[in-house]
Amino acid sequence: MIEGSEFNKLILETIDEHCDDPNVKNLIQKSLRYELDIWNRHIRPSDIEDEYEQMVEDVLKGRKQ
Amino acid sequence: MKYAISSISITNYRQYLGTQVLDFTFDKTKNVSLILGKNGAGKSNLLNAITWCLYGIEIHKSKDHHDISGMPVINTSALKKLKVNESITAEVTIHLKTDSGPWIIKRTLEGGKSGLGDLYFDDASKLSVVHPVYGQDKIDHGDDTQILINNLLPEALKNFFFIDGEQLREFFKVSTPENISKAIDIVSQLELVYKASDHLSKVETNLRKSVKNSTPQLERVQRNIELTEKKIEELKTTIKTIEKQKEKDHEEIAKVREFLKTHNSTQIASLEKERQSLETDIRKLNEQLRKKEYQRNSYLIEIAPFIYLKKEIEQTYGIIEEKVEKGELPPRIREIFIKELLEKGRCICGNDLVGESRKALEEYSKKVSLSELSEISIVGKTTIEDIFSSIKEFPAKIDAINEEIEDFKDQLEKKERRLEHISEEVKEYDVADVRRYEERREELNRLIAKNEQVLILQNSDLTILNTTLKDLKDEYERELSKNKKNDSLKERLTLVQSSLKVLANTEKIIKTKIRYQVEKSLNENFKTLIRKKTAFSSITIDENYDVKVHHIDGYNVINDLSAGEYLILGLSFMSALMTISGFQAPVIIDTPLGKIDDEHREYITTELPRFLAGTQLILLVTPTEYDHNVQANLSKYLINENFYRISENKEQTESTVGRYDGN
Repeated sequence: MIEGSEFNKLILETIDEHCDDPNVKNLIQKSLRYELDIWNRHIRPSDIEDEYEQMVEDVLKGRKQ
Repeated sequence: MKYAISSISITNYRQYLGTQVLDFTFDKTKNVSLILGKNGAGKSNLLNAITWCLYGIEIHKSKDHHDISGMPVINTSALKKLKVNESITAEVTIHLKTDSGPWIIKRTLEGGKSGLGDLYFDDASKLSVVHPVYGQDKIDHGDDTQILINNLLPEALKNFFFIDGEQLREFFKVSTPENISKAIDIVSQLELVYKASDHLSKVETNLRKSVKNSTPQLERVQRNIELTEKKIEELKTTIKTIEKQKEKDHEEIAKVREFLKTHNSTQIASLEKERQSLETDIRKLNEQLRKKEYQRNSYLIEIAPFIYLKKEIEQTYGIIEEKVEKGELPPRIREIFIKELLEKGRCICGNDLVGESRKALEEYSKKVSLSELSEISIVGKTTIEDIFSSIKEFPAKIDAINEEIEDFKDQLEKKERRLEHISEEVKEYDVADVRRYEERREELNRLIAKNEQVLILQNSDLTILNTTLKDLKDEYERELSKNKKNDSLKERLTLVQSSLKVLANTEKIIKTKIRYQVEKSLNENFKTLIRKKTAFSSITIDENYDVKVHHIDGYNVINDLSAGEYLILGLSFMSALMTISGFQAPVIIDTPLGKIDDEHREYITTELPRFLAGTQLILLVTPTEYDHNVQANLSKYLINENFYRISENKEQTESTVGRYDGN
């Protein structure tokens, strides 16, 4: 998985075109960035769940990480 | 990042005792390196050494291959020589040339003899990577080191670059739409989207569980959602298992067919060849039959109303004719034409329009614009005449179509009967192996047909369950909105659900876009590499990932290609995926020319190096593959210093690799 590859651009552009809600867009972008960070790494499922719950909270609070 | 292999060093790995080194030099105009070796000499284990070093996986063995009774990774001769309490290491080191500077990747596995004389091996191999960071060499060890290599070329994409020629030839012969879809998934990196969706779905489930089900309705819907989700998961697992089984059966049936086709009894081989040709004919006939039946049905749909309403249409026609005879409906003459005659004052016969004739024409012009209904009646009269002629020709036309359909059916029946006879003949053959294979072939055909039916039903159940789940989730949202409590949880749940919907939509759009890109690139590559350029019109990948190779005559010939054409189709598909993935790695092909006819051999060895210009191409070939023509063709692209030969010891248990001058 390569950051900045043509495919990541394509994925992000498609989300941008088909989503108007800034919060939804923000959560998806955060999720994809996190997945890219943990790609091929062994992370405990409970840690992933915690991270996702934190992401949801951050997006709703409008906090920047 | 682009990379190429500058050297491979193998120590005590598989049949390679001691250290073997293969250095590769680079040339701007040439891109081919060759490794020559007999079957079983260790060509495939050279490819295995590369994938083992990079990913800890041997390409010819499955991932879950932990059979301790099999040959160990460490060279067995070296193990035999060990004294008690001594250990030894198998090691593969690969030097890479990358855009950012040289890399060194090393993987080792230790084993030894215990004090009691038992052999032991480390549970896992050790990986280390030396790579340049800000101009300095950095050494990495440990679990996350694999990420560095996956950034050069992800493990999931390795089979598109490190290719087993045999598997590539078989890819489209036995491949199912699921394999094609999977390959496109891997290359399009949608895995990222799938993983994000999976993890968000877990958050969604947790959030729903956290919401206090304060109303009985909410509780009921929540329970139903959980039940439906469980059923979906179970069904997906069942479908996956059946699909895997179907795939295995397809692979086995291809092997059975190959066994019979190449059997040393000429009778069996020719029967199998006849069967395969009959199967091709049957497929074509079925296709023609379907087309003809469609034509007949469309014709019937078109003509049926006229036949049913024939009596009413005749009555209408009678009424119109009566009116024409009475002069109530004028013949169809355009109003503008009569007006022009009156304006000019001269008839088309040359006489002046004066007196009585002018009066008559003026009367006529009034009738022309009588009413819209008159116009319709006049047009209708012509249309009805056309309908009459269609009805008249109906019996002959439908008979002709039916005759053609019956003819196709007859031909099909004859060919199917012949197929049955062939099967009987093969089953009665006096060689047990042949009979056993034939029985297995029949059994596999039955199993595949049965599994296909089961899959249709299961997939339909899955669609229904998914719709139910969607409805339940909508109902849950409605119930939840009535509930004044849990505002914060509701907000989170809505956000996660909306994100999941967007991700699902994105997934569909991306997959379609990539499918089109792969299809386009596949067509371009195939046209470049195939010898018979005019025989095939196009290759399509439909929305169900069914690949069709369209013959110029309109037939789908995916099941009727020669071994060479299958290889080219496989290479074209892999190249399309390689291009689209954007990764630039060496292409290594093991036994690329086996079972390929001379003409295709010639064409591949001329076209492939040119097609992959700029990419390091390492070919592992047998002496049979490397015949005079191949030698002559490759000489233009071969870097002479990169020509190696694998030699075996007398017992054929150990191999060494050395430079080869071609003589």
